[in-house]
Parts: sequence; structure tokens; C-alpha cells
Amino acid sequence: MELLLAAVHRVAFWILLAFFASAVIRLILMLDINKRVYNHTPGPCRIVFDEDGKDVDGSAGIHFVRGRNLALITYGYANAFENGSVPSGLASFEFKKGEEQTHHRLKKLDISWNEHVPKHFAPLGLTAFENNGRVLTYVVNSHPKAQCVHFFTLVKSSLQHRKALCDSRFTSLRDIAAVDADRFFVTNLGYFSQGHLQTVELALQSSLGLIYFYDGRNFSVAVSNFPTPSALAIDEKKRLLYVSSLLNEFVRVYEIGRDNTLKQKVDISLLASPVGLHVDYATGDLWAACHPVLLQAFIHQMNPSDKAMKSPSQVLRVRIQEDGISWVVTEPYANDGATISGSNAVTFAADQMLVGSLFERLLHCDILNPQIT
Amino acid sequence: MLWQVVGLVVVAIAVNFYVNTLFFLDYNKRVFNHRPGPCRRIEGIENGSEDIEFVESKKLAFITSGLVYFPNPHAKYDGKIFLYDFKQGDGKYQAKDLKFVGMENEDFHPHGLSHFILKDGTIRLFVTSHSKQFKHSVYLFDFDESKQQLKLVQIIRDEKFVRPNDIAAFRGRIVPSHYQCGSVVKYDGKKVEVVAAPEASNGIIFSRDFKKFFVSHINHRTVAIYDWDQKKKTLILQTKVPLLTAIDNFYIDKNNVLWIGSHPILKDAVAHLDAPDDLKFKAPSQVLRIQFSSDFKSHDITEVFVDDGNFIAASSVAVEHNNQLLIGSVGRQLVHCDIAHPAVANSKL
Repeated sequence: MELLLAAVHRVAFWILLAFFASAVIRLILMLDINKRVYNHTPGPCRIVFDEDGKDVDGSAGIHFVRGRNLALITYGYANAFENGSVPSGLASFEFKKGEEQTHHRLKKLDISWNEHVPKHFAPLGLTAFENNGRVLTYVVNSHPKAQCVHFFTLVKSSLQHRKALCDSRFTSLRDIAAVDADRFFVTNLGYFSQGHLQTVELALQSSLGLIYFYDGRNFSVAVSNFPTPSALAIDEKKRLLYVSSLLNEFVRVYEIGRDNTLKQKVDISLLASPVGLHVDYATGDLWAACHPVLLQAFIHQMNPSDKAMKSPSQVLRVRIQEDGISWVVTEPYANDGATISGSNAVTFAADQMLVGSLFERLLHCDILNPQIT
Repeated sequence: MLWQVVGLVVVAIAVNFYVNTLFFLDYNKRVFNHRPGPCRRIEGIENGSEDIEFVESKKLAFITSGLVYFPNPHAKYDGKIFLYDFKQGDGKYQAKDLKFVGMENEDFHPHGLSHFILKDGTIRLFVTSHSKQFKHSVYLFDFDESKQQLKLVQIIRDEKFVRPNDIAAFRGRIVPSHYQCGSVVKYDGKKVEVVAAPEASNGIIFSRDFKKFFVSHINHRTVAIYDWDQKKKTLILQTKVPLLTAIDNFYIDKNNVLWIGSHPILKDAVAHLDAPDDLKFKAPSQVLRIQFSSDFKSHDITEVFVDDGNFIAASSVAVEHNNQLLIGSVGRQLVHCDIAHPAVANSKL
């Protein structure tokens, strides 16, 4: 009996050791220690300043409102990480042509709050749905103490707050995508809320992420056990939902059924950690903002106010072929962090590109050769 | 208990070796295509364009082709040197296959390339070459511009030429680099001496003023910058720039900007180079541009071109002139690109 127990202990020891070694290897590969990016741009670029000529306090979420030819940008995501507070809210950027564009500024939007101004507002992902001339805007608040989805209506140059929906099941909301008025998908990155437990969960590369669907009244689980879902984007024409995996570094394509159920189609492997997605309405191209070196992104995210903690930025474009199951990936933009640090969002319109970062600048680029860049 | 400790140590060593091997071969990397502007392949070059030597005073580029990278007795292609004239009119992109004089019985497969202009204005080319049996030589040619041919001047062989890779000419003397048991040696017409520390060396080039010497240490993914003592003909290491990509050959433009052809994913490059004729194997291509500060203590890196191998496989060299980019590959295509805007090739934002 004692011999049997000793044998079981020995076998268990080696099995645990094998699991531990495997976890260590996967963790080291995940951190991208041997990767870097080399700077390049698709054309002339410039920083977008606010109306006072200053850098914005982050531009972590961008959504292009096609009917208005403008982009909505969230700022102030750093509130989710530190006790101090930075100004947070939404801003708009109007796409123009020619010389007029190079000096264009970001306009911060006034918000008429439905009740009181929320104490913890760290906006991250956002989406908008254009409905009968109204722009219904949905914003994810990623603050660990106030995980909510906020409903706004864009009225001229200001936002009317409609309501906030919070749920105890929300632990790490990231991004949101609307399929109809008050119908949207939202991603929950992992089981644990932001903190040490989440770090351990992510280090072990668990698959406890969820995608919720809101049907106008209730949140239900649309996809369970998704590995670290980070960003969402919807192809309106083809009724496709794109969901990116932060740590497994792919984009999964779902078909949206008539009742808004999701049918999995294909995975697009990127080998870069996608954090922001955009679908170009005209071409159907998928644009992804990525963290090319995950370790630096993690360190940068843990120190939002330290300007020396730079993280590389990367924008990829996936051109899906007619068959829907093959694609070409190009890299329109990459930067080592000196210009824009920790790219988190991207949008493309009128041969121009906006790249948003977690806590800092917003970048605007002309794309000289859209077919090849 | 002792066995458990030993087991832990063995597992730790195994994990470390495994991870290091994965990193060395770039298993977790991929490339994403981008170009500085419209590109096209140069017709007629299919078996490599491993090194390009640009003669700025005449706007001519010499291109080596038909490299034998490993002993390859059955190689079906000939070694050639092509000429690309940057003065060609708009829309023309042709490379001329140069004739040789005095090379009747040579088993010639050129690799690295360098040039020197003689006092009478003749362009003298210095070429490292490997035979199909993998014997190594340095060939000296004079370029006859009127007849558009290369005349053999001299063949240099030495036991210290252990698998020479690239070559750099300094006032008529040559400094070939070596890949295997890597080193840099100098040859002054009489004897061969080792001038750089043992480390696998690939591309080498002098700065325009011949004060600096650049060496690519491919296994460590670094560019080493040496001071070149012009009197003693010795190298003194000044700095190393880690690039995290397998650096191949160099070009230095008139602003002392370094242009590099490199292999971003080594496992694909190794598989491709083992069988360059086999179109099933492709390797990514990458062109980097490094601009140094005047004291070489800081630098800006721009990635000008990347391809996954479908358009050009395993780039080894890049030459820029007048917003045109000529990209050579180890065993396949030669590509010409337009640089559509200065911002594209010199990123500050």
C-alpha cells in the first residue's frame, strides 16, 4: 500500500511538472519577448490634438459613424487603473479632405447625464447604430467598480445620456458592437475582474471569456468559453460578427442569424494580439489594432501615467477573399511606441486612418496606396 | 528527494533549450506585407540576386545571381552578374546579363559583391564565389562599359577564405566576411589576416568616408559597428545594434543611411535556402533602413518593405536611389519598388 502511494505520488509529481513546464513555455511564447516592430507608415501622419492643442488623455475606443462621416472616440480609460482621475468622456473627429485635414482637431463632446455624473467612468469600447436619423451610441465603462454599458444619443455636437445597464456578471467588459437599435454584443475578457487574479488567469491562458447579447431587455450569453475576447466589429452587409482573441491571437468570424444567434465560421490567425477591430463598409476589409509585444503592453497598461513605459503599436488589415475562407493580411502601420504607444483602436475612411492608443495620443494618417499598403 | 531535484534541473534545462530554439528559429513570428509604393519584379532574374553593388557615379547597379549556398553538385543554373541601369527611362525596368571575358572554364557562382573605381575610371568588381563543389574564391573583374562585359583580372584563393560571404573594397583591397566559424579577414594583395572577432558574419560594408565598418552578425541578430583604422587596417568595435531579425547584406547611401536586406523568420529562410529551386518553400523578405546619429550612439529604424515570400522570397539586400528601391533575394526574384512618399521610408510618426 505504501509502495503504491509512493508510485502514485511520483507519477503525480511528474504530471504536475509536465503541466507546469508546458504552462511556462506557453507563457514565454505568449509574451513576445523576441518580437519587435520596425517603424513604417502608409503615408504622411500627424498627431490629432484637442481643441486646446493638447494631446488627448487616451483614445482607446474608436467607432466610425458612416452617416455623419465622423469618428467617435473614447478617452480617459486610464481611470480603470489608478486611484487618480483623468478627464474621461467622448470626442468626435470629422473626416475631411485635402489640406483642411492636416490641422483638424478633436472635438470633446458635452454629455448631458441622465442622473448624476458617474463617479468611476473609464470608457473603453464603443459602438453606434444609426436609426431614423438618430445616432444611438453605446459605451462600455471598464472601470472595475462600475462595469456598465452606457446608452447615449448623439445630438448635434453633444451626447444625451439615456441609461446605464450594470450587471453583477460583468467582470471585465471590453468592447461592444450593435446590430440594431438597443441590440448589441458585448465582450467580457475573463472570469476575474482586473487585478492579480485576472493576471494569473490570463497567464494560464484560460478560455473563460464570454460574449453577451442584449436583446433590448436582458443580457444573455451568446458565446461561452471564448479565449480572452477583446474586440468586436460587425460587417453590416454580410451580417458577420468578428470577435478577436487577445491572447490566442486570432479573429473568429461568426454569422449573425435572423434571431441574432451566432454561427461560427472561421478563425483568422494573426500572431499579434488584436485589441480593436473595424470593418470598412465599402470593401469589407477588416482592420485590427494590435499589441505586437504583449509583455510591453502589459507593463504599459499597469503604469498608465508613466510616459516612459512605451508599448509598440501595430495596425493590420485583413482582406478577405470572395470565397470567405481565405484572406491576405497586410500591415499598414507599425511604431515602436515613440509616436503612438499601445495602439488600441483603428478606423479607416476616405483613404485616411485613425489609430487610437490606450492612454495617450490619437494618430491620423493618409493612406497613399490603399490597394497595397 | 535528490532524484526529484535532478529531475527538476533536467526539465528546466530542457525547457530553456526548447524555448531558446523556438525563439532562434522565430516560430512565434509572422510577417505582414507592406510596400512603400508600387512594386514589380524585374524580368529575367529567377535564380537569385543575392548582392547588389551600386556605383553611384554612374547610376549602375551590379547584381550577383545563381548562388550556390550549400554544396550543390547538381545545380542547374549558371552564375551570372546582371547590370541594372537606374538611368533607364520611366516605365523601363530591365536588367542586362553581362558577358564574361576570360571565364571559360570557371565554375562560378557569385555571392558577395563590392567595387572600386580605378584611376582611369574603370569600375573594378570584387566578387566572392563558391563552386558547385563549394570551393571558395574571390574574383576581380574590370567592367568594360562600352562593350558591357566583365573582364577577369585575377582570382584569389586562400586557406583563410573559409566560406566567404560578403566583401568590401577599401582602396583596391578587399575585406571578405565569413559565415562559418565567422570572422572578417582582410587581404592586402600579399597576405590574409583576421581582423574581427569570431562570430558568424554576413554582410559587411564601409561607411562612405571609410571611417566606419558595419558587420551583420546574423546569429545574434545584431549589426556591429567598428571603427576602421585606415593606417593599421584594423577594426575596433564601437557599438552593436540589436535588430531581432536575421540581417543579410548592407547598402550605405550617400547620407550614410544603412539599408538592410534581412530574413525575419529564420526557420522559413533555412528551409528555403536548403532547396532554393523548390518553389514550395518560401521565406519572408524584409528591408530595413537605419539612420544613425553622427556619433552612432542612437539610431532610427524604419521598415520599408515586407513580403511573406510570395512576391519575393528571402530578401538579402536593398539599394535605394532617387526614391527607387531595388531588392535582391538569395535564390529568386529581383524586385523594384517606387517609394511613394518620403514619409513612407523615413518614419517619424
